[in-house]
Amino acid sequence: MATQASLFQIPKSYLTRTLLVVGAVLLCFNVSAATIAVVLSENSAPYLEVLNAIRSGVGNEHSVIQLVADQTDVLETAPSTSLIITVGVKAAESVVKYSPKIPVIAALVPRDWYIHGGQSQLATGQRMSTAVFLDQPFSRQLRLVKEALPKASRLGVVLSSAQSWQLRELQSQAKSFHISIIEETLGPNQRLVESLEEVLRNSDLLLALPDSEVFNRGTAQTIFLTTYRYRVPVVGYSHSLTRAGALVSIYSSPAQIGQYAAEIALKTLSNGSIKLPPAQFPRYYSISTNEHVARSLGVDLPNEATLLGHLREGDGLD
Amino acid sequence: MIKRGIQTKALWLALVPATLISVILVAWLTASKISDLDQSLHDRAEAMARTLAPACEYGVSTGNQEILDHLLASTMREPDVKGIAVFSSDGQIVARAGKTNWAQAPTATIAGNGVNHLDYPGSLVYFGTIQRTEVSVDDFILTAGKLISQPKTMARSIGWVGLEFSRTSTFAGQRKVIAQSLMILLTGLVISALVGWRMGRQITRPIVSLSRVVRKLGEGHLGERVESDGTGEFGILQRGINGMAARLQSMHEQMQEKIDQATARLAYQATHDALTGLVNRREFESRLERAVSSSILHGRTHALCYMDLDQFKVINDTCGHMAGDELLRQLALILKCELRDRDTLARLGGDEFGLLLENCSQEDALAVAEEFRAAVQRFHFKWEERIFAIGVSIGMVMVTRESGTVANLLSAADAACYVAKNRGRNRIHLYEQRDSDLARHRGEIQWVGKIQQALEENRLRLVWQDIIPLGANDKSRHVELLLRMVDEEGQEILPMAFIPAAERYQLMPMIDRWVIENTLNQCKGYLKDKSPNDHCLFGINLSGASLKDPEFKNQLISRLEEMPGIGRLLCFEITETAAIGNLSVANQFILELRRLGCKFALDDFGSGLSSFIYLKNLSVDYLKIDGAFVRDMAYNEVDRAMVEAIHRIGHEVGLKTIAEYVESEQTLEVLKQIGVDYVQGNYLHAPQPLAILCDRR
Repeated sequence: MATQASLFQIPKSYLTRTLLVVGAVLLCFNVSAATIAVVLSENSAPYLEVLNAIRSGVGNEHSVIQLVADQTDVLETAPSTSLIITVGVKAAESVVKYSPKIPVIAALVPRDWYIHGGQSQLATGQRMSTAVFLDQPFSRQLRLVKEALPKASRLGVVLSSAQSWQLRELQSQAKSFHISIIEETLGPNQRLVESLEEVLRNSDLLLALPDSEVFNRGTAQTIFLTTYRYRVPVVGYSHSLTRAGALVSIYSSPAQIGQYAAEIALKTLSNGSIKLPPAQFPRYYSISTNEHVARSLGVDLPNEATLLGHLREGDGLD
Repeated sequence: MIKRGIQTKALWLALVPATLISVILVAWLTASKISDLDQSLHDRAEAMARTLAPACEYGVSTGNQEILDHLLASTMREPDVKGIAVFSSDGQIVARAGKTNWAQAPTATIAGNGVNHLDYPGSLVYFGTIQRTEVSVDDFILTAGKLISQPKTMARSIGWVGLEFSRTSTFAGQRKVIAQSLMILLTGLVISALVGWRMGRQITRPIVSLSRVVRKLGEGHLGERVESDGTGEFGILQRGINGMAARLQSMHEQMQEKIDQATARLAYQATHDALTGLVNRREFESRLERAVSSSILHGRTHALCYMDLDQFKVINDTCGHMAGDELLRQLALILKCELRDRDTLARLGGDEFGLLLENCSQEDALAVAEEFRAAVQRFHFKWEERIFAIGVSIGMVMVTRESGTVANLLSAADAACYVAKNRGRNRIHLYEQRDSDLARHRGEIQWVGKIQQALEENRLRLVWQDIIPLGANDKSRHVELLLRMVDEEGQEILPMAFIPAAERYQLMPMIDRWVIENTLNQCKGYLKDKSPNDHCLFGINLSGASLKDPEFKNQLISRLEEMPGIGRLLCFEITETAAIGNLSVANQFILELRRLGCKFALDDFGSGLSSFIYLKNLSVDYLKIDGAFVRDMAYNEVDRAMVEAIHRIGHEVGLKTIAEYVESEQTLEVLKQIGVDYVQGNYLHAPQPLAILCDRR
């Protein structure tokens, strides 16, 4: 993945400007084709990966110009741009002040950001906007739990108070899976281990949610060691978590997010009149399992392909 | 000494480099081993601190005491761990194990990450920082966006773990290493010393053997040889020394042979007479000594003969010494033929021979002596167309247990020989104790000692007897000085007792000298003071021996010359026999002394049966008629005739006559009738001490 990204890694800004001009010229000769401006938060690996996925998703139908968050002033001089795809929060925020008429697809943004401010920022000047979240829908995660650990009925969750708004949604969705949520909210000055142990004592498994107050580089080891002590498996949200000790993780790679963003862009541009779909979770995802952890905990876990297959069968439910 | 020298050097050669290298090596190895042990403790401690710190992370981060206690307890089981403590980031002790009294963690010292340590004399403390392990939880880092939740900055260090290690076992290990090193060093040195000693011995053995042989050779054991077993330089040395020793030995043997020959020659010369080849006196006396010893110890009987050739002097005087020597040589050869194996014939000096017949009875000895005598008698010595018959007088003495010392035996044999000569020569006389001749001889021998003793002790005296003139006109005084000896008891001894012995043993010149000297001393004043007309003539007897002695004559002349005028007061009386025996010498003496004024009288004339012719040739002044004629002349016609004849002849040749031994009035009357000039005798004047005469003045 990193190798692919490197082909398009052109850090020099003048090159970018050149590409932009070339794209504008091309637009002049092909009226039916639209121009999609992809704004990257940074000219770095995950963002370029998304860019590449967008390029391949769009193909030759439309022209794609690449911008970096700092260079969004170009958007003023390129009025022919039909659609902006921002990659990452920084990129999304950088396009807020330019050309409100151009609709924006904010890809690779946390759902929490979009809900709590991102969406309203993008709506400045009646701009149409949508988002492809970084997060996975609870239903998908619950389905995974059911596929991987059918017997698990008590799902533990530790969230910081900032993220505790998600609990109600999770609980409501869990009901349909006959799963009860054991939750602890981490207050200020409260020790994570104590809350964690409280949850683990009553849970069959722990659902990790992207909450940096809880799961970060410093706490991960302690959390995993504690869950092992309680022999409670963890369902994670990234491949890194699987590697770090989670039993199984479900996540969308930048390419999958890019691919889905490209699909939304194509659908939008093909309508003639531009109409954006609502913000949504990425359609494509991956599953990774840690067999060592499974063995350690004595869990009989289906392999990744089986899990993914079963999960896709039920994709319509998300 | 050589052995010790070289062997010690070899030992040093082996030991010194080995010791140096070993000591340096062992010191270096020990030091590095000690350092390794210390470093090993450090390494182990650091490794444990490094391992334990992450292990404690979970316990510290979760505050789980149980986990930490369990961890610490298992760590405590590690060797050398004395105590462990886990500190939280604020320095408080979270958990502890062991006996260490932990103060608060020295945060200043151990600040920073990783492992730090503090060294204490008996222990070592390591602090490991407990760091939070970071694990990636996101697949990618999403930047920017304040709402994008970034993990809040967390301190990576969450505490420390402190481990105290005891150094006791390290020190023990180090001590053990030192002990082992020293053991190895010592063992190595002992082995080196043994090897060095052995090598040294291999080198020194041939040298020692060489030096031993050289020392032996030096001490004179020339038969010593080195055992030659070497092939190298030692072999050359050994063979060289053996060759040298062999040459030395052969030279030594040749030299020894020459020395032996020379010694034998010297010994022969020392014990033999060069002329005749017979044993000499010294050897003869030593053999006699042995014979005497065997007599005393074993009662053996031997015979000793003292042989003196007769007429040898005649041959020697008339034909010279060459003839005498030849005679002795020839005679020795003849006598040797008569010898038995065990007999000893020796030349004792001049014409005297000694014969020792060992283990021989008196009878056999006499027979052997007779054979000798006969053999000498048969022998006729021929010299320059002249033939001499000679004889031998033999004195024999038997050597028995009682015969006394060698000197006694020789003296006895000599005396016996003397007797044989006295009895007519060419005969054998066997010594016997009662032998009167021998007794006389012995008496004479005894007198010799007495005379010498008397001279030394001044026991000789001078007396005077007047010689009275019968003529009425003669007023001069004439005396004869006579000699007396005073024995140890104070008795006076007349000269006829000791003078013969003095004459035989050559004591007369000495006595005469004493007489003259004492006369001059005692009568010095008297002799000087008297006027020429009132002088006294002193008659002094002179022996034939003195007359012949030139030295005596010279001394007398020089003495008289010192006292001028004294000569004319002296009248020397010489016997007829003494004068006639050496007429020319006597005349020379008389002439020389006459020049000094001395007068001479011919004493005892008539006793020697000498020819009247000598009266003409001798320039004397007085003729003293022998007392033997005078003593009995009053009754004996022959004696009176003799006296008359002598007186007449004396007068005829111009001499004044003196008659001695006038013992009676009758004799005096007869002498007056005859007309003798002077008379002398005890009847007229008994001798008086000289002092009386000299003090008369």
